[in-house]
Amino acid sequence: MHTSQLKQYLNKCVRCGQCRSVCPVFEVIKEEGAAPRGKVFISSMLLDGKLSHPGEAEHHLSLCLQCRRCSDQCPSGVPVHRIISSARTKLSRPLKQSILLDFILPSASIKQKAAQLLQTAEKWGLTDLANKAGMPLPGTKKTPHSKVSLADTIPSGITSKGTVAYFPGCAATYMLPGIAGACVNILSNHGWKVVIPQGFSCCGFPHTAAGSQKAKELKQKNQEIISTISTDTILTSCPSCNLALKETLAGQASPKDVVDITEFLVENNMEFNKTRQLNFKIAYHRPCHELTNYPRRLLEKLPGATIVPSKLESACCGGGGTFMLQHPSLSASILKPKIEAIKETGADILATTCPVCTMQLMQGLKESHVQVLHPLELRANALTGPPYEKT
Amino acid sequence: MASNSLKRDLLTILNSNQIRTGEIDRRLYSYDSSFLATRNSFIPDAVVFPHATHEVAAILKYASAQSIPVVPRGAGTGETGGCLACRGGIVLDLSPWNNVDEVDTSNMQAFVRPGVVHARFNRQLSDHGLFFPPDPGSSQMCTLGGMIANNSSGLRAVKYGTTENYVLGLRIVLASGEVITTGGVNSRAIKNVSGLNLTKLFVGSEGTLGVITRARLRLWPKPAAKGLVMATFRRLEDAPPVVQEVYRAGIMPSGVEILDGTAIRAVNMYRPETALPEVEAILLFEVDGSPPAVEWEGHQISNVAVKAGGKAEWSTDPQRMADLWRGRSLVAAAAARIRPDGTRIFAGEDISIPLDKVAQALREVHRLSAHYGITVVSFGHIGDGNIHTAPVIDIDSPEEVERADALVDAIHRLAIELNGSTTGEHGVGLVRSGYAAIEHGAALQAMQKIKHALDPQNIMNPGKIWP
Ligand SMILES: Cc1cc2nc3c(=O)[nH]c(=O)nc-3n(C[C@H](O)[C@H](O)[C@H](O)COP(=O)(O)OP(=O)(O)OC[C@H]3O[C@@H](n4cnc5c(N)ncnc54)[C@H](O)[C@@H]3O)c2cc1C
Ligand code: SF4
Ligand code: SF4
Repeated sequence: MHTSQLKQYLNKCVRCGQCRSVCPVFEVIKEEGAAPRGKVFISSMLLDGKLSHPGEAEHHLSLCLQCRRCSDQCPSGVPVHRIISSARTKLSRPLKQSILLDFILPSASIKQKAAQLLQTAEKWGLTDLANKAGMPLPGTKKTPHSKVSLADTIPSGITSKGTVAYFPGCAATYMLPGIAGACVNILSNHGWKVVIPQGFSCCGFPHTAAGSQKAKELKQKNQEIISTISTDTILTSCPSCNLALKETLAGQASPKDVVDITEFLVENNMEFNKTRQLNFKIAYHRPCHELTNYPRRLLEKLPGATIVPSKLESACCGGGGTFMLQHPSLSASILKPKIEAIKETGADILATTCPVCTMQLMQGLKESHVQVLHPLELRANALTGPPYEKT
Repeated sequence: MASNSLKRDLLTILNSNQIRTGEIDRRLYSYDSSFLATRNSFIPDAVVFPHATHEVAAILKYASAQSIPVVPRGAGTGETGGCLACRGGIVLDLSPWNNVDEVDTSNMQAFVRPGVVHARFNRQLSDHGLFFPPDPGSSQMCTLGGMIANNSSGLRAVKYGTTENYVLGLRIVLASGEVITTGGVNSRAIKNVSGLNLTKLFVGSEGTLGVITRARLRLWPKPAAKGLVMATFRRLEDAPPVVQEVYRAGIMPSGVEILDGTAIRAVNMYRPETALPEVEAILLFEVDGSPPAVEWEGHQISNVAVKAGGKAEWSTDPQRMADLWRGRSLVAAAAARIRPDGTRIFAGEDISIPLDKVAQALREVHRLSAHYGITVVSFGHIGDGNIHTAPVIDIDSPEEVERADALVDAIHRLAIELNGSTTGEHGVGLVRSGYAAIEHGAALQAMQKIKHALDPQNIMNPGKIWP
């Protein structure tokens, strides 16, 4: 953010404290330094050079999940989460999380290796160790995500409707490939040829949030690649990628529509005549960055499924990208009431769209029978997959 | 006092995780919502988080012995600098101490700790079919301790009164560390006239007489039905007389609010779904009670408004009512939306005017706003004459800030001239103590004698209420 704009936003904060009522971190750490208002204040002190030990601001500025509740609720229009991420860029040394992001997420080969490493870890029985360290390993035995290969062809007998581009994002490509597989499967069964343009980088959301300089680079790279795509619509399956790509393309000469696949399916009334019944009780977790109701509407259309309301459906799970690695016990405290509420519903499956939430919730539900899946995985399973077994 | 020795001493009373003395942590307690706090930095020497009456008592005993100022604090949503350590010392952050000890449904009362947030309390009471009627616009964030200390009220004060009407008793730690319970040590009675009414003395005392660590609060049954009339007027001056007409029709609404043209714009910018008509004034009348009474009153009010040249929308849809009420509640903080480079300042924002002079006051405020060249967003509890005036300025312009100071002073003096008060509900704190002598005359000395008797060393929130 430009310094003059930042200053204007900082001036808009009237310190009314309304944001104290919505912040998941403040809910656990009831101190002004954890409140969004406090973090705005620290950001302005840091930017104005008023702190004698600026390094001390690092801890407070790391206490943010970038869930955006504060910005959405602020009567005065202060984009609190953006102020916090801008302030993070001004820290004399980057947040620990941004170091991880700068090296791992932009590089396809490192991510591939990391994914392989995780699978090897499972083979060697390191899963429990990783879980204890607060770093759940995707693809482990508690994970029903099947490894589906990405097919871009339309099955025979289905009329072609055209081509769509799909941005799977890092998690659905490397860690939870079942999601990407399900998307391609559903779309191609509806007659859409799916292209995943070569060279797509990380959407940059985690980098922007962490205040990493890399964000700009990733944004530019994705802009270049997107400018070569001939389709008007880019589909996403992750709500954070969706937000990041929309922000990446805002103000571009010929902007493309960035649409979540659940919205694409619901809005175009894409339903299947023949699908298997999913006789499950399904609870839903609404990720902080999920701004629409489409994933839930898609779930409601699943044949045979009962959607059970959970008291804290829209509460934050405490994942927050690398937040859960940096603040494992705080993250677990934010998660706890959510998990209790999910268990109370008696659900067999918890559906959610965000991969980070998925990993966090899998960790929280590891002692229970509840499986965590993307609504699209359930949709695809009803269509073609082998029946899920209740665990 | 050097912060190291203070910390060492506090460690004999509290655990280390209840004490903050680092630079950033102390600075984080240098503000509330007041404009004063944007311009000054009142940094305490330590911030502590007590969680028991005996901990507060030990802190005050120690502070008395050392003559260290002690400043109680809730959510820091006050608009007067009331919770700021203007003379240094120890800030007690009481907001994490947020237990509701008991809801005694048969006796229609609850026992709470100071940090309970108002909106959460009412959500909990709702399960019992009860509610705590005072309702400030800051309901989502302010604490019950802060409300009691400021005698807060809000949108429904016109019918239900202010916080003081709902406090049955208080546990107070005095400056000496002595603990008293007002309203009867073990009492659960609703009425009680035995002895001096110390409860009322502490309500509204802004933390200058002692620390509230527990409160016994009176609850009311939730009304069975509610409805809302939104009356719109093309000319501002047509709105105030309608309020008087409604009273003359024998109706006491549960809320009567006004929004002027700029406030309407601010609400629409904050919550476009509210879709308020862009007119010069809107009156919101809430009525509650039994369903037939609510319907009848709603229609009577609509007729009065239409007769006076306005248009009326009657709604009993909970969503629509919640949207309108929420838009109105938060316009205080949303006012800055009307000017991209502007900041809403909390200064001169809370005048209280006799009902028959409200129209005159609104006119005068508009004249002052033009005179000083500063946009003022006006809204508030017109039903009881408590008007909020929100200057929106460029806080980086010293010249504009100077004009705003003059405007704010003129607004305060206007209120006194019109036989009103400089503050209807937000309190005095640091920002209005300069008007205490003209508002209270000889009564001010009586107040100071009470203060001296209870806090001879002046350690409790010094610098507030009295200059
Ligand atoms: C957007 C907005 C809207 C508002 N609307 C209204 C409104 O409609 N009506 C209204 O009345 N006010 C309103 N206010 C002002 C403010 O919210 C109230 O005065 C509120 O009651 C303050 O509560 P707090 O917990 O934030 O207290 P603080 O600001 O933390 O403290 C206020 C005062 O209480 C003292 N205090 C706090 N806790 C204790 C305790 N336990 N023991 C002794 N003293 C204590 C402090 O020392 C200080 O003097 C509004 C403020 C904002 C920002
Ligand atoms: S960020 Fe917004 S909601 Fe939070 S204190 Fe500032 S103005 Fe109020
Ligand atoms: S973005 Fe979320 S976690 Fe961060 S300060 Fe705002 S409400 Fe808190």
